[in-house]
Amino acid sequence: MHLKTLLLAAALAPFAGGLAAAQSLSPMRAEGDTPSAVKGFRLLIGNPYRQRMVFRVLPMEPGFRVGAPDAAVNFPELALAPGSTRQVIVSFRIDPAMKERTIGVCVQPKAIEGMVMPRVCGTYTGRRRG
Amino acid sequence: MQLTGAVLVLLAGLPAAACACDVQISTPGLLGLSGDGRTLSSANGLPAIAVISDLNLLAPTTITISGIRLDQAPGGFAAPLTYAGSYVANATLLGTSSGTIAPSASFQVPAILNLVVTLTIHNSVTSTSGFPQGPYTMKTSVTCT
Repeated sequence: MHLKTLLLAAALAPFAGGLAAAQSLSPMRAEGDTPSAVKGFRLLIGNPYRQRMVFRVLPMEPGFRVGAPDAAVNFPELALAPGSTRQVIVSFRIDPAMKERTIGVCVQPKAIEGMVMPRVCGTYTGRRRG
Repeated sequence: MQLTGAVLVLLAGLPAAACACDVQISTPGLLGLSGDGRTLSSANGLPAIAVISDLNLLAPTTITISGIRLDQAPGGFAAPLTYAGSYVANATLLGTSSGTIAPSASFQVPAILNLVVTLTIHNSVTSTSGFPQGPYTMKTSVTCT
């Protein structure tokens, strides 16, 4: 019984800190196969701020400095209420000559006052099956 | 058996919930002009403070501070500029680290539940010919990966 309680507590612990409610970008790393030349990932964008914010979701090269060609997000800009989240889909083409491709995705406020532009970026790898 | 099933379902959801990062700006920062009129700096105003939380629980998180730039300046202002910056990162349990920014700085934060990193950032930009009157804003990117 103690073991079961401990297992349940261990499984619930990450959720107790509010991780699911306030994340800006989740997951931050993912990989998967695709039978075609296009791979897509579902990402969850969250607004941790206390006011409504408009965020930009940018497909980038893995270094997060330049935009990624042949990649798109279904909602490149989205307005989110405080504490809310929304799912977006990022998709990118994998060169037929390559077996896999990794892209980055960065989420940043469209406009923010002050000296810091906060960004949360993840990397996503798609592999051509076969 | 039911409990085992419930635990498996929860653990299956763990990677998505555990791979996250929140970057919030608690103080936007303020630039002030130096006495000789050649440097705009937060040292003469207020530093920016960012609070980073909900970090990845499955792997260390890299925090990068980069891209110091003048984001807004009066029209026609094109003087050569020199940028500088520094940061102090304070994390509960881990203590304090600091460094210079220009052109960039990065550090890793271990995967610890409920870890919060407070980042204090100072920026400055220097123009040998000074700054004409008008609005100026600087930006530095803080990237959580």
